[in-house]
Order: sequence, then structure tokens, then C-alpha cells
Amino acid sequence: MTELIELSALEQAKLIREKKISAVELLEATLKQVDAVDGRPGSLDTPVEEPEDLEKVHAFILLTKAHALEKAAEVDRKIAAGEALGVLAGVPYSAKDVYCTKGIQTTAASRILEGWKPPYDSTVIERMNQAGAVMFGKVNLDEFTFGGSNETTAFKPTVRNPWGLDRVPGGSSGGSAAAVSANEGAISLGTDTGGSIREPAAFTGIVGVKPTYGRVSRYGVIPFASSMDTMGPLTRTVSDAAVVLREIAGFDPRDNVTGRVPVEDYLAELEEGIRGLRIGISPDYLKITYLDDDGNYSSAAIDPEIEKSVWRAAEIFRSLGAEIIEDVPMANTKYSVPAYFVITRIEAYSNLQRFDGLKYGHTTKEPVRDMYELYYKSRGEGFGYQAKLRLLTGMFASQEKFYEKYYRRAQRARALIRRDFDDAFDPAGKYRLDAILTPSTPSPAFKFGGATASDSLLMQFADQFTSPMNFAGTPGVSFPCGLSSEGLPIGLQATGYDYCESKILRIAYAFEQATSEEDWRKVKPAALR
Amino acid sequence: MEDETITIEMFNEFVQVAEVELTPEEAVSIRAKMNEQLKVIHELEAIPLEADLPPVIHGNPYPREIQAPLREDIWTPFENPQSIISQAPRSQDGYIVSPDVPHQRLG
Amino acid sequence: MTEYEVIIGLETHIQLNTVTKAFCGCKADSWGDPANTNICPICTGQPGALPSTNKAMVEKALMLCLAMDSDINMDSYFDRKNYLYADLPGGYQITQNDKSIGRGGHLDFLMDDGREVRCHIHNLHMEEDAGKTKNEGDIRLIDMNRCGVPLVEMVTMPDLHSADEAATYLMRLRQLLRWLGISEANMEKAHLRCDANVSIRPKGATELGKKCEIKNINSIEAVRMAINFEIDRQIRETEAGNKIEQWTIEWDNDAQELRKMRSKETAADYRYFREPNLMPVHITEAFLAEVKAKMPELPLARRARFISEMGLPEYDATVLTAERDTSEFFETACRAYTGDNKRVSNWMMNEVLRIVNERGLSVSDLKISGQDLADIIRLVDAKTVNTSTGKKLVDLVQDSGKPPKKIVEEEGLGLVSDDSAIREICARVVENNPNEVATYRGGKETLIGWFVGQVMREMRGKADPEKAKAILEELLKAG
Repeated sequence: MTELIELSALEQAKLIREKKISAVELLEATLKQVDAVDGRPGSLDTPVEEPEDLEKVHAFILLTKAHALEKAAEVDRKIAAGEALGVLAGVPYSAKDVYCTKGIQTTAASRILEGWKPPYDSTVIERMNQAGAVMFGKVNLDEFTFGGSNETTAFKPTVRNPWGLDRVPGGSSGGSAAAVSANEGAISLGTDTGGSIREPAAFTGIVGVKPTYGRVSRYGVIPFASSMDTMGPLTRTVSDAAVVLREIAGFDPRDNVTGRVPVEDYLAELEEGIRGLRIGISPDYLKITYLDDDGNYSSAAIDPEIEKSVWRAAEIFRSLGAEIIEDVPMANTKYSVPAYFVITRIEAYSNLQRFDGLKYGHTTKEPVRDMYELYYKSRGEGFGYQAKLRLLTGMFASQEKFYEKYYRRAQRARALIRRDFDDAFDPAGKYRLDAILTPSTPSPAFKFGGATASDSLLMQFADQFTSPMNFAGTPGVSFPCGLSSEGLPIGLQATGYDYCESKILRIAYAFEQATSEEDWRKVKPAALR
Repeated sequence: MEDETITIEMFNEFVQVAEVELTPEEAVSIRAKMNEQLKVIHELEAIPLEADLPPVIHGNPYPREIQAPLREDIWTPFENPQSIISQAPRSQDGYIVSPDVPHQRLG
Repeated sequence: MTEYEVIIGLETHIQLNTVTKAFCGCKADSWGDPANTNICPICTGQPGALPSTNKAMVEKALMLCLAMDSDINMDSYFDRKNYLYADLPGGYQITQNDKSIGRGGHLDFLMDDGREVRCHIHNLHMEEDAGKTKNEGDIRLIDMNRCGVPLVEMVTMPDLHSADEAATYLMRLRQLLRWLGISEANMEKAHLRCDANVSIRPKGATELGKKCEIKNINSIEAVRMAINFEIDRQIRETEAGNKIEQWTIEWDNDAQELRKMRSKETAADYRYFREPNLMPVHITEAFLAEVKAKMPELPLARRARFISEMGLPEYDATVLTAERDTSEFFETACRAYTGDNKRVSNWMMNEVLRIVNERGLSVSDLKISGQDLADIIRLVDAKTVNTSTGKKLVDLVQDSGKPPKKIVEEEGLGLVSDDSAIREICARVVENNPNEVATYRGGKETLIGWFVGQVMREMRGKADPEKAKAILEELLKAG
């Protein structure tokens, strides 16, 4: 029998609405699962990981049991009273610990925010509340989302990939991905600035949506790079992703960059199928391109199993009535690496300015001579290595004397990279695409130490198929398409034009439906076996 | 080229302005990483940009009809200012407390 | 001894009198509020909070651009100015750097000696204010109520050449801001703040000397004092053979002294870049037209019109255009009076502004209106009351708020022009003062004034003095 915790959010919501289970019952089952698989939560006071830590997932930093029980009981009361309910009433979910939650510790996985209880809720949390969903915990991430493996968190033990506990869960929404794939809640809210939803979703065999920039409000979410940050769901099914996105998307007067574009009913539209959709495949997304030591562009092959998955999916889509257009050039994509690097570092540096040891979070306990020394010590103690590196790199790149050379040039390169997307999706253009199919990542989840052994430049390459969409502002969904020979999940990405989330979700859904009976779908993550 | 490498002196100045204390190991490692990353930054120069290519702040365009209107000038007080101040490590009589900033008097 | 030329440019920070702050819904004005009570997640730099641009800030900034005859950027951008300081909770200030709302323009003003000065404007930009800090022993107390208050920073070219010119510029600017209704411009409340860039050079030299920036000057008097202190200091240093270094100096108003700021605060690279959280400010033609329609006639234009069209002397025109309310009161009175504008001007300056000064009011606080003043002058013209009663009426209307005619009726202040009543009193005065009558009849006809005075006293000032004089002459000569 399928357990409650294995059900999708929509199935869970239906059972609650039909009074077959109570919201409190579902919450308790979810918390029991956390108890069984998660191990001790991430903490600032954990100097070393014990052997038993290596056997657990460690997705969570904080469980908000009391708060969640209250909410769940409220849902049950409403059901008993026959009151109106949100579509996700009683469904437990977790949030990456960059979503501000009123009165509930929010850490960004950094010591600098030690003990901070935000005075307000982020818009997305408010909207999830309106939908009736029940937040039961805050999950771990790379410190300030700076990373793609979760190893940079200041809260240890670090998150482990449920599919292989010696593997990283991906990042920065690694806690979200690990929690959902380990059945610790059917929904987690993540953020994506360069692939931080899609990469961990791919690494853990789940669905992750990075919406169009400005589709979902950023209000109340601790930023990384403000011109690229997006908020989206990580779920086990495409339908769950569609319904959560529908609930959280839309114009927000508190976020100036949200667009006044009507929100489609992503869930209902899933059933429309993909017949007639034009899906492109680009050779530029089937290889890694980088500048070698001699200053020439070189390319490296991606994992062959992953490339094979792309072509297999293309065949499936063709069989479902989509048109596959090969050889779509996205030649400027390779330029996104340096331009993305410069802009994200500058924006990140500036966004880290406000953490000063005066207003909230960590402050030094050492005696200080003056305000500046308080800053110096508090920030030195509070920021981790990656935060310091990005802060200083951003300061370097943003010097006024380099304004034209770096920042402005990167902004102009951004326009160039965007043009590839405009050309590919132009309804009057040569390709007239509805979506592009790419691998989500060049390889499956890597082992711990992979990120620190390589330098952060190589981590940029791991983002090569996802960061261009943050740069261009376009949406992408990563969906699971099978397991590697090592038994690790592989993810594919459908990426579309601005505000075309509906189309890419339809593509992911069509794949999910067409492959629902395949054997790999029955395999459980190692941590659950 | 003036920005070819980040010298120890330059690096130390950044650290001072950034107001972030580093351990000696961090200082060595971060400076080395930054110097590596300069290569990535320099790739910018290899990008062929047409002269009339405009800089953009965001990737996706914001046609007027989807842009947020300016905010109307209506007072909407925040419910709980105390919840902001209560987060401060040091406060006194409703003020946040900071150590002093040094000054030098002119005769 | 070397003569020096003084070169001054001013950076003024103008607090706009919007209802809410620049980027959040908190009140813009926290005057009198306890510390940190007028704050929210946005203006206190809480992680994750985002700004949204106040429409009224843009509107008021636009009005100032129009008033200064600046070029308006129909698309202007917000930038982040990055620096760490206790009063800046976000770690950066949202401001406008290279594409601000206004560029160029000028403010013309008259010095007391009548000399006209034109001070060119470099640019105008919108930005948010920082909070306040105060020293208490060896700590600083931070109040974030002022964080996020909307400012326009207006930077002049180095067109001013004395502390006096700088002070006059500020006074004219203050007048203009109030005139436009975009700022209370109260320097004591820091609605209008000023940083001055001061340098000197030997007269005749063409190269600019190294300038020092004096920050935080918060009254007209302080501007005069701080700039003169700094000029003296620079001259002293130069005469002593020392080089002037580019310093940032803080004016401490309590101690009335200049303090050099630590170099860390001065050698800043602010690492400006576009604020990605905000859309550019796009001004549509319709919005601009709407704002233009709200623009009042400006002080200098009105002054010129008062001289050329209304026939006022320059002095009167200057006094009556010192404030917008004064000029509007005056014009209302003139329209209602329809006679000699200079006569209205006299009444305005002598009586209405007397009340304003005596009672410490502003013209907008007055109960008496322009219409009332016109009515009073007409009553005097018609000899319904005499001039001194007319003057008294100005006070009475101001006290009671009643129309002048009603007061005259209620209090019986009207002049008696009935011959028989005056004749009766005149006869009594002649009868009761035989000595004076004899003297008059003896040839001292100037004594007529004394007789008129007696009649006026008997009648408590209500007699028409002309009439009384005629009757008295008739009675005295008939004797």
C-alpha cells in the first residue's frame, strides 16, 4: 500500500478534503518520516559529522512542529465546519531557509543571521498560507545560496542525497530537493539564481520549476543576485509543481519587478498535451564550452548517458505529436559564464552589505574599539568562505574604474545572450520554438568534496545549462527522466519563453505520463530502501 | 594591465573596505581564488559586442503594459516596529546601539 | 597681501513633503515620534525586503526640475551607492547616479544690494535619506525613523563666491521649495540640508584650488559661519605655505566647530550600479502634463509681473513675493479692490504683514482674507471709517473672523456724516472754549486743527474730519 507520505500534494489534499485523513494525521506522518530519515538538524554548533550522520539526509535546519500543528488543526476545524478551503489545505511543505517567516528563525544557512527572527512573512509564504498549505520546517541550503552542492552551509551536518548518501544533493536548494525526494513533505519552496532549483531537482530525481523572472514575487526572500533570483517549487510530480506555481505566481505590488501578466491555470492546462508544440534541441546545450588556457573556446562532452536521455525524450515527444527541431543555435550561451559571473558577484556583494552585526543576527563577542571594528569582526566571524570570496570578488569587479569594462560590458553581453532566446522563440522567426529541451546538468550528482576539490569556476560549468535562463530571465523546468547506470537520477530541462510556464510544464507532464509505468519510476531512493 | 593580478596590498585594502576579517589561511586562499577568477572576468573582453548593443538590467524585457505602476502615496504603517528593534544585539531606550565612530578635531 | 577668490558649490538635500517614505509605506515625517517607531522591514534593511517607488516623490522632484528649468530625463534610473555606516541599514543607499531625473538648470536670485546672481545647477536626483545617529558617551544610538525619507539632492556648479551668496542662495531655494509646496524646507528640522564645497585661489588664477567638503550644515547662519571658518582656515594654511588637502569636514553645530572626518569615510568608492529591484522611472507625457498643470507662477516671474503689470515699486514687489501665500493674498485683495494696487500694497505691507510679524503667524494662518482687506480699504475710501479705524479693523477681522462691514455695524464704528449731529458737537466745542475761540478769531487760524481734534474726541473718532472742519470754520468765522 502506498503510504500517505508517498502521495503527491494533490492526492494528499484530496484525502483531507474528502475527510479520509485529517491534516494533523498527515502532518504527524510527515514528521515521523523526518524523524526516520533526516537525522539531527543542521546547526551552527556541530563541529564534526559523526559516523551516524553519514546515514541520514539532514535536509532540515528547523522543524516548526508547534506552528504546523496549530495550522493543521485549523484546517481540520475548517473542514469540520464546512468552511471554504484553499487548494492545498492541510498539505505539509518546507521552505528553503531564505524565505522569511514571521517570528520563525530564518538563517540563509549563515552564521551571520544567527538567531534572527524576521518581523514579516515573504509574499510566497503568505500565498502558501492562503492556499491552506502547512509549513512544517525550514530546510538547509548553500550559505546565502552560494553554491551548487549544499556543502557551503554553516549549518552542519550538511544535506546528503537520498539517492546516494555519499553524494551531494545539489544546490543551492539542496535541502528542498533532498526533503521532497525522501518523502519529507511533497512540496518544498526553493530559489534559483543559476540553477539552484533545477540542479538539485535533477540530482534527486524530482521536479523543479524556475519560473520567468518576475513571475513569482521575491518579496521577503533573502537575495543572492537581485536581477536573477527566482522562486519556485520542488515536488515529486509535475501536477504538484503546476498547482504550487499557480498559487504563488502573480503580480505583487511589493516586488517592483513582478510583471502584470495574468497567471494561467497551469494545472488545468497540463491536460492539453503537446501535440503541435515545436521543441528545439541545441548542440550548444549538449556540450560544455569553456575558454581554455590559451584563450580559445574549447568544448567538452557531457555524460553520454545524459545525452542519450535527451534524444530518448525527444523521441517520446515526437511520438506524442510534438515537432522536434534539431540544430537550434544558441551560440552566445558560452558568453554567459563571464557575464553571469560579474553581475552575480557585484549584486551579491551589495546584497551582503547589510549584514553588519548591529541590527540583527550575529555580532562579535570580542571587545571592539569602534563601529568599524564591530563590522570587521562580526562579518569576519559571521560569513563563511564562499560569502567572503563573493563579497571580495564583487567588490573587485564593481570598482568605479572598472564600471564600463566589467559591469556595463556584462550588461551588454546579457542583451546578446538574451537575443539567442528571442531568436529561437520568435513566432515569426526561423525556429518558432515553444520550448528547448536540454539536460539539466552535465552529469549526475557528484560525490562530496567534488565542489571543494574543483574550484568555483568548475562549479560555474555545472550551471552551464541552467544559468543562461537566469541570465535571460526565461523559465525552465527540470524533470526526472531516468536513472544512470550507477542508479543516480538524471534530469532534463524544458525551457521556454517569458511567461510560458504552462507550455514547459505540459512538456514535463507529457513525459511523466508517457513514462509512468517504466521500471525506474518504481525505484526508491537509497535512503528509503 | 592594472587589474592583471590582485596584489597583497590591493587585497588587504579590499578586506578593510569590505569590513570582513579573514584568517591568514582564508586570506591566502581567497586571494589566490580571486586571481584565478580574474581569468573568467577577462573573458568578457572576448565577447564580440556590437557598438549599439544596449546594457540591460534584467534579462527579460519589461514592456510598459506589464510594469508595476508607481506606488500611491498612502500611509500603511507596519504592524510591529518593536519586532524589528528586538532583533538588535544591543539596544537602549528604543535605539539600536553601535560603538562610536572616531573623529579628529580641526583647530 | 594676496587677495583670494572664493569658489563655492553647494549640494543641497531637500526633504520632500510626501505622505510616505521614498520606497515604503511608512510616514515620511517622524517629527516628534519616539525613536524607531516609524519603521518597517523595507526602510530598516531587513533581509528580503524590497523597495517600491513613491509616485509623489517623482511628482515633487519633477516640479523642482521644472522650476529650475532643468532638462528632464523621461527615463531615469535608480542606482545603489554602496557603503557601510551605522545609519544606513541596507548597506547601500538607493539614489540616482548617472541618469538622474534632472540635469542642468539654474536658480536666479537677488542679493540684498540688488545684484542678480545666477547659480547653475549640475543635476538633481532622487534618493532615500539615511537614519539619525547621536552620540551618548562612547556609543552611538541609531534611530531609523528617518531611513527612507525621500530627498532630492540638487548640486550646483561652483558659481557662488562668498558665504553671503551661499546663504542667500539657500534662502531663495527655501522660499522656492515652500512656494512649490514640495518641501517644508525647515532647516532646523533638517528638511533642507547643505554640504558646501569650498576652495580658494589667488585672484586672477584660473586653476581651481583643492576643495574641501563641509558636511551637515543645518541653518542659514551655520552656512555663513562654517564657510567663513573654512575660508579663513584655507587662507591661513595657504599663507603658512601649507597645501590644502581634499578633506571632508563635518560641521558640529553644537560645538560650532569643524571636524575632519576619518579618511575611511572620505576616500570612498561607492561602487554604483543599477538597483535591480526597481524599474526605471518612466515619465509619460501625460504625467508630465499633469505635473506642469500643477506648477504655480514662480517667484521671480511673479515679482516681475507685479512691477510691470501691477505697477508696484521693486521694493514692494520683492516683499510681496517673498512667499507664495503673501503674493496670493495680495492678488486676491487687488482683484477684489479694483483700484490702485499700490494702495493695496501699502495696506498689505503695513497692516497685514504687521499682524503676521507681531503674532508670529504665516500668511496662510490668517483669518483675514484678501477680500476682507479690499473691503476695509473701500470702507476707508468711502469715508465710512477713517484710516485709523480701518487699521484697527484689520486686527478686529483677524481676531473675530467676521467680515469688516459686520464689525463696523455691530460696533458702531462708522463715521458720522450727518451734518446736524456734527454741527451740534461743533457748537458745543465752540461754546465751551471761549479762550481758544478768541485766539482763533484773533488771527491764529492754525488752531482749527485743535478744534477738529476736540470734535473727534467727543465723537470717539466717528466724525468725518473734513466735515467737522468745514462746520467749525463756518461757526468760528460767523462769530
